[in-house]
Amino acid sequence: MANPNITETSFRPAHMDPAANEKISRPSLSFGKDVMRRLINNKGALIGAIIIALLILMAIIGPHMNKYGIDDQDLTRANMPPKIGVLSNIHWLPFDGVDKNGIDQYKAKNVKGNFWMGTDNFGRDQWTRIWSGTRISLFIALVAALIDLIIGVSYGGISAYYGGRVDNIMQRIIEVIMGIPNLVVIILAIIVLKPGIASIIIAMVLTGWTSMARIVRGQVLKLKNAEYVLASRTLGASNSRLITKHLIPNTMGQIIITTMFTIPNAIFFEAFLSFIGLGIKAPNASLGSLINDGFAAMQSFPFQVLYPSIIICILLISFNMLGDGFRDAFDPKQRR
Amino acid sequence: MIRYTFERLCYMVVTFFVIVTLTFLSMQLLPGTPYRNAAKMTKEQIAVLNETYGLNQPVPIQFVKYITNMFHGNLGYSFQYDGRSVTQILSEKFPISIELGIEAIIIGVVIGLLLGIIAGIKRNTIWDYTSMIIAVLGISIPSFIFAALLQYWFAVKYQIFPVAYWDGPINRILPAFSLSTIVIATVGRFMRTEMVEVLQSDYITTAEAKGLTTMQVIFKHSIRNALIPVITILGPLFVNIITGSLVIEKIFAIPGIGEQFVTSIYTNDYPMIMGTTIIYSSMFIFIVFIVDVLYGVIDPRIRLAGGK
Amino acid sequence: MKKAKWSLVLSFVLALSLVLSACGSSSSSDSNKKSGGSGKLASKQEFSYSEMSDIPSLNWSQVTDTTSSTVLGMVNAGLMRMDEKMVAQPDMAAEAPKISADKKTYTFKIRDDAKWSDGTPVTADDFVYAWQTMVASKTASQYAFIFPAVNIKNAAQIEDKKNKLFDKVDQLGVKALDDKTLEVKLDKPTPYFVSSLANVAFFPAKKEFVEKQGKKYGQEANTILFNGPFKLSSWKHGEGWTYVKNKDYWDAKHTYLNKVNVKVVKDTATQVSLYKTGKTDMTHLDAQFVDEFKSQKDQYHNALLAVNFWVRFNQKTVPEFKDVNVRKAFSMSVDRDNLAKVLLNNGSIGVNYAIPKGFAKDQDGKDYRDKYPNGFNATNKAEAKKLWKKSGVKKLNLEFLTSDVDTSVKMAEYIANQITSNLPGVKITINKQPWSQFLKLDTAGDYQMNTSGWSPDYLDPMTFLDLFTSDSVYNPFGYSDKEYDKLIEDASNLGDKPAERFAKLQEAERVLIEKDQAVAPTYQKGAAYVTKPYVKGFFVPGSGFNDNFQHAKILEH
Repeated sequence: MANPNITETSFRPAHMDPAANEKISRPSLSFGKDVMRRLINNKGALIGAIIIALLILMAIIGPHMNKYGIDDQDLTRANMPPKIGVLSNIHWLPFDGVDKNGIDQYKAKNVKGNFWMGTDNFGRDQWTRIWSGTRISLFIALVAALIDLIIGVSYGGISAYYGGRVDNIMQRIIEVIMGIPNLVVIILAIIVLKPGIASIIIAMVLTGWTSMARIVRGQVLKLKNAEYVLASRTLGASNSRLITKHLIPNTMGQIIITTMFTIPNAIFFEAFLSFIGLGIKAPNASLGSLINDGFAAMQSFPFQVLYPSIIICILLISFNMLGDGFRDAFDPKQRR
Repeated sequence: MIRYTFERLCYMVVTFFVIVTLTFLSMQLLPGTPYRNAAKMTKEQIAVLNETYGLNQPVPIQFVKYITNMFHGNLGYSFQYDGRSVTQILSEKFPISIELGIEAIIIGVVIGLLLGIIAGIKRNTIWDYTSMIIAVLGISIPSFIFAALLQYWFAVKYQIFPVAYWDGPINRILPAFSLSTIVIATVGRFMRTEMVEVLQSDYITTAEAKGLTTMQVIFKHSIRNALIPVITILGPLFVNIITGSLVIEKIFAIPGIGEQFVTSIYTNDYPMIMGTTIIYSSMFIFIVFIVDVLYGVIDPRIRLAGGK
Repeated sequence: MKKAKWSLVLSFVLALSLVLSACGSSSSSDSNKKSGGSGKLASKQEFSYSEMSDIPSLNWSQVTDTTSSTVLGMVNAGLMRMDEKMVAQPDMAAEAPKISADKKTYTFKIRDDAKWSDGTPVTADDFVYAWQTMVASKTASQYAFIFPAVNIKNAAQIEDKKNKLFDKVDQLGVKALDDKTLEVKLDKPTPYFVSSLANVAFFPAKKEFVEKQGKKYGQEANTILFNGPFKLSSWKHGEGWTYVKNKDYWDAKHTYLNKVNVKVVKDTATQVSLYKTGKTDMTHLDAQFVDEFKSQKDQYHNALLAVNFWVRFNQKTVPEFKDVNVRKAFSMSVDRDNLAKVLLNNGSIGVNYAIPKGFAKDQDGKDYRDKYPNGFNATNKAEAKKLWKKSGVKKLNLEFLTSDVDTSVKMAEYIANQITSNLPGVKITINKQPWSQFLKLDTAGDYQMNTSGWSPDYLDPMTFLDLFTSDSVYNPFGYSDKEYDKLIEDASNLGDKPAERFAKLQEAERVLIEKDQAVAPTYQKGAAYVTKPYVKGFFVPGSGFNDNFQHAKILEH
């Protein structure tokens, strides 16, 4: 197959620029900048973030968008179906004030005004209650997740990194905390502290941080014997440098997923507490307590459970999309 | 390995005792009264009752008595179910919850692994998105709403499955499925993350370079390595499912332990709280132990580190 | 981008399925076929329904709840039994008792054909044994208080730890004159004594059997003897139980059902679904299901129960409540009719009185309530405002204690809103506690205001009114009025003059509510339930039992 036309004279030495070898073709990025850049490029995460921002905005202004307060009861307008003025003539939309039996309740009960998401069995405006409930749910979930994160990461990281006796003792403590059925701890905490937002958060954090700690420990255990960590250690990196530069960034994916699970979990747990009678203090509402109240009347007045459920779903899906984006962005292995 | 296992066993016993003690003490903080008819009794009558049940004795003495009885297999007698022994009540209700929990875990792990593996392999395709949306919905719909919807559609409207009760195998389907959503979601998402990571690692590249087929790579290398974090979460998940099955038990009228447990806390049924705690805790400690051992079996790196 | 769209689509799918599931519910009840109007009995006399909770105990001396009482009422029988109109009829007693001239000694003849399910006859000794067991301190019965409450001789002393008669149960005023004759002595004439004998606490028990079973007595279907209209054929703890007809019951010819299946279902929506799919023949309804069934006249029923709810004002913890104007202003601010009609929606009625109607009757059968049918201090928001101004209180921050029972929470939320929106300067936060914690706080008087109901222990206004005397243990909230105490004291010594006694009690209630507004009555409880059109003779009694199917029958359908 040799081509006889190619001779030695056909070749010339290439021009070599030694400086070009060292040139970094992409602009230098700090870790934080890189994360931000990739986060913005991830459309799902961006949309998630925008929806969350919108929901937060609505949670702030929503309750003030009409004239009703969160505890404006009026039993003459109890259980009104949703009605939105401009949409009320489009009958296939569920905003025409007609109930499931086809009766226009606004005419039947002679109710003036529109309730955009209907009213509950006290005749309170659901729109106002849903948005102020979103506010409370978000607050509880974010605070609980944040505290879980701080405690869990430091605890799990320390435990795994130092290993040996420290790890052993710390793991036994976790086992004890996880081994006591958390319902006892939570119910006790809430009853002793009196039901309210703060006691719900405290009760959730009391047992909630352990799963984060276990996951972080598992990851760090896996990583700490990885070759690049050993290499770094051999090169004389300090403990804190190892933890902050290698171990934490590499466990970030797991930490973020776990946090993204903690937020919906916290929202649900609050709903569960409502279910067993330890929810938020009336007349305040949370998404959980609204779903729970609406759930009782699910077959008769579906809108009462429908809208808070939709908000919770959108909220959680958005958090998950954002979480996915964050995970991809943080993960050093996906750096391109 | 044997010495390690033995050490772990000793720790288990110590952990168990710490939990029992802590629960016993924290129970004393529970406000409330175990007597349902307290509103209609005088203080003197309540004092007489306290004496009969030994509730007027100092806490340490009550505790020692309880522990001694516990060693003799006597967990005391329930307040709510007049005089029935706690051991008997637990032995009736616990197997039901365990069965339901196992069924939910099996359904959840099978579906979850499937979704996670598909999503991990077919990353950023419609498969990935669909699987993950199913997983996200699993944690986005409160289980009682999901259970009630299932019940309404499949039992009331189309009457394919029974509405409630714990009679035959067909009664298991709806509750086990409702309970498994959280497992599907958790397992699916973890599996996906792990698959993505594993598939990018060097040894997979090596394996592919060796000429293994995609199937071989996935089954021999990827799944096994990706399973590790999944196993760590399965243990606690199982315990959570059993303790958290209260809502499902209520909706499908299943005579399990979850509902019972909350009721015993609410009614200050001290012996029942203790009995249930003991069962839960021993189960939990045991599961953690099993997970640790399994961990060693599955991931050789950890076996080495642990065996030192 | 794709992902986001997907999620939105899916949430709409979810939303849609919620809507659809709700829309479908009206059509699903067409499985309930119309009853065949023949009125003929069906060949299969079997009845099924759901019960909210398991049976805590079938030991008559340990019963504290209505589920256990209901079961015991069906499988056992005392001297008397309540009929549908809440009148006590002889059951184990062959006839109405002979009452001595001083009205302090009652002599009962026990039916010759009264039999236990082991074939032995029910004797007077069975009653003596059961009653003595009830008051013994080692039995630890939570219903022992009812013996002194109906004035059975020495009962109070036997239960008093400081008395020399303490625990001397043989001193209790009950004696077997012979196998079939029972004599009961009272401390003082008590007009409601006979009707109270329908209570489970006064049921008989066979000594040999109880002692043989020991701790196991009443814990299983086969560790209890039956002498009532039904027998328990099985009891699966946590799941349910089954009754079969007791052919040896003296009135067995009026028991039509051969089998009754009860399953424990704690969720009302599930109970309703079971009813709709034909798995059960009867179910109780919550407020939200009432509208769905209300129009189905052949299925929907209402009952008014002898249970009254009120709001207590604690004068010990809130000095402002010492002012009667404040209490009246609070009470008059609350619109009770809407509360009952819209929020409860189950046949409950808003009331301004302490004693429920249709519950206690005088000798001529006239209702106690007839004198003041509408109660006192009717709702009047303008008047309330005036009284509030008169009291001079400018600011009042209160905590409203309630149990976590759904209706109580709703009620507290509603009442708090009614008061705060009418009276300037009042702020009320709600403290919701689980039932046992609520009980503890309630009995200790550890609250500012609270709400709960009271169900009668015997058929007399006294079971409600003696709660409010100054020295009553049920009154930790600091209400005290000498006039009221005097009226109650007088009434309790008028047992031999029922008419005068009733007048005193009616006057006492007037003082309690109209003059003092010690509590703010809110509603008298109702019960809404549905039965399949082919079920006849089933009813929900006004007090004592949850359900009564003793004479229920299934028509051909």
